[in-house]
Amino acid sequence: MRIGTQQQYLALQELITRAQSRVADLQVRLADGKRIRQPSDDPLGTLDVLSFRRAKAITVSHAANADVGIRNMKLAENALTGMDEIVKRARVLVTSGANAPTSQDARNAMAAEIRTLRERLVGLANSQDGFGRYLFAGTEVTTKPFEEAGDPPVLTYLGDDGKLLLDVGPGTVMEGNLLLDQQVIAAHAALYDAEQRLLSGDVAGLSGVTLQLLQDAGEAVNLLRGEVGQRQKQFESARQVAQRRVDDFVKAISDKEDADMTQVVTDLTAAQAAYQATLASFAFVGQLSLLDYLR
Amino acid sequence: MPSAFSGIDIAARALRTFEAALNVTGHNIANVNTRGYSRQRLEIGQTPPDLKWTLSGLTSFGTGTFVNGVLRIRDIFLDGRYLEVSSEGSRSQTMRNALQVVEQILGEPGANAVSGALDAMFDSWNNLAANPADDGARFDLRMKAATLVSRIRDVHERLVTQDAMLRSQVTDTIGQINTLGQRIQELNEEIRRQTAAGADPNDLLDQRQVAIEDLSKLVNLRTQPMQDGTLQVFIHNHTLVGQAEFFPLPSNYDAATSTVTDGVRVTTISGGRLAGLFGSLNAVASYRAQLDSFVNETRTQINTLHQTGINLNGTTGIDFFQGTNGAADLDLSGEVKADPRNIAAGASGAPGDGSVALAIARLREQPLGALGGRSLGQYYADLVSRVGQESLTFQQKLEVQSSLLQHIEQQRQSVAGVNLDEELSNMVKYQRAFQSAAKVLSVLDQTTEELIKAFGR
Repeated sequence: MRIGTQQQYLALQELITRAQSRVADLQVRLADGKRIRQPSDDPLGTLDVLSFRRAKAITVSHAANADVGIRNMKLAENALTGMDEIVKRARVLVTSGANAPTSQDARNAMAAEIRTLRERLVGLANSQDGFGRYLFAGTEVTTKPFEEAGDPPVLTYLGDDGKLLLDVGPGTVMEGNLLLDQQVIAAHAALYDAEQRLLSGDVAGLSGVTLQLLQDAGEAVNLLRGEVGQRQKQFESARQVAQRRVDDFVKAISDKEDADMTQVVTDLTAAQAAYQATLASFAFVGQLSLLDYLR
Repeated sequence: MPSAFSGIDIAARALRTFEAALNVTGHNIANVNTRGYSRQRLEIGQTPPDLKWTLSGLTSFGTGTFVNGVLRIRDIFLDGRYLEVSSEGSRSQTMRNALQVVEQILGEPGANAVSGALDAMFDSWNNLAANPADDGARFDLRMKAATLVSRIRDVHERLVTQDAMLRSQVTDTIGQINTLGQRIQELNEEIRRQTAAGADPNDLLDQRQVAIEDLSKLVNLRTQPMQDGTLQVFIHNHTLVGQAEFFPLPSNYDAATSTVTDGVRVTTISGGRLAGLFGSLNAVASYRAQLDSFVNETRTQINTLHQTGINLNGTTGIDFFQGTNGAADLDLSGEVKADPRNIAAGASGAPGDGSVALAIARLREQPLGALGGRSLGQYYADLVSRVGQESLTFQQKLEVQSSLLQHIEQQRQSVAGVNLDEELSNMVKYQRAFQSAAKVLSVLDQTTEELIKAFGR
């Protein structure tokens, strides 16, 4: 085939441009480590990357929600442990006060301790998180939920029955707060009953009604502790699942988006060799001319 | 017998012919790098023989050579193919360039683009749902939503700028088409004049071919060669260059239908840069419409839920976003901008109620009828992928067309291109012929001199 001199040079220039472009492209890929730098690099891959990122963001949110649940359950567990100790101590005092030989002075001292325990119970029921929000107020988290007033003192619940719903997995919703107004009011009433019977020396009542009330209150608190423990485990489990899914998404995103560095380095080496060969070819062909053989 | 001086005439004509041949060779060498140049060849012919009566009867004596013309070597079929492919290649190149700009505007799948900002905003809604009484969560949400607004507005404004730039290029391109049409008309006139005078207007034909090729890069065209050497140029049903007149392409256009019109006749533009610009304008308009749908649905869905909530200031019915016209006027509502406590996280107004925030956070995955059953994030990702797919399609088309164009150009150059080695060998050939003719002249001169001396004695 006849070759035009201009075409010969243009073709070589085109080959050099392509070789340079290929080397430059691979150098950028090596520098930023990305296989997809713009949607046209892989349109379907881009769609996958955006989809995986969205799924990852949602899953990170689930993990964050689980953390909120774990934090709230731990705080609730601390408060409930304190309440359980209060009820247990009250039962010890009432059992002791129900013994006939116990003096009235001793019973009066026990009643004073029970009053302190009752105040501690109210304090625990009004527990706050690190941000000053009440843990057991439903959604009225800025309102002190338990107020004791009147004579005889009555404990009133000022919160609501609102629930903090948390998405912790695909289609998995858990309650992130705890409502314990009935249990606290019952425990408060039992403690007040114990205090009054100790002051009045009602031995029969102490060993009968009061102990039963305290036992019921203790069981109710323990039931709540069990529920809180269970929910905390569920939150932790949800968090672990979410974290695993996040790891999976990170890997899936990387598989789609990131360059295979070994392949890039290999390709770059090959592209550089091709570039050198093209330059050498240009230099060789450029030297050949009939002019050199004519005198 | 021929005259003693006829040999001198033969030698003189040969000298003139080979000198002309050397000139043609020099012209070819001089234009080796001239774009569009077609190599030329001197057509050498025999002069009519001299018939003389000799002892053996009527005898034909050769009278030498003469210049029959300068031939322009060109393959018209390849030129036609070149125009066709060049026009399509230019359209693909224009589309590819415009779509690459759109890809840069979207900035996906980068971390700081709209899809990332959308995810970040929904993350903040989720955070507010889990911590509804937390002022920090409200500030964070307001900031993330403002970032989303900023990103969307940035994409919108850059697409508007891109649209304006493309329209400016359409005007420029129509101007260039008309300038080239005018140039072709002028070349036609000169070619007609020289042809009528019996000359070979080879270089003018090359210049016209270059102008035609430049024109084919701008618009789809069809040519019709005429007997007088002129070339008529048509763009669909519009005669750009007639046999004796130039008719400018109208500047009124409708990108949606890829047409231009003078108010009476509608001309379809199907190739070249102009078609690529119309296609790019349509693509940008389509992307803007898709962005607007995404924004309108985001605004409507979030506002609808937000209006049902009661904020920490006890008010309800407040919009989270404001604006009515797609991405152009998207913004946070005045209330939300003024005070993040105006964000309604719950339906009851209780500070710990995050039910509305939770419902809005769940919008992220919710299929929406107005978006064809896709969620907001999916819809935007589809837009990004669509831009990428279309950009890639035109890149692949361009690669095929470039390769084809290169192949055709190689074939054309194989026919019309100057080969320096070939010209150098021609030069040696004509130089030797010239030297030989000079030798003939010298010998004839000596012979004549001998005769003159003999008779002069």
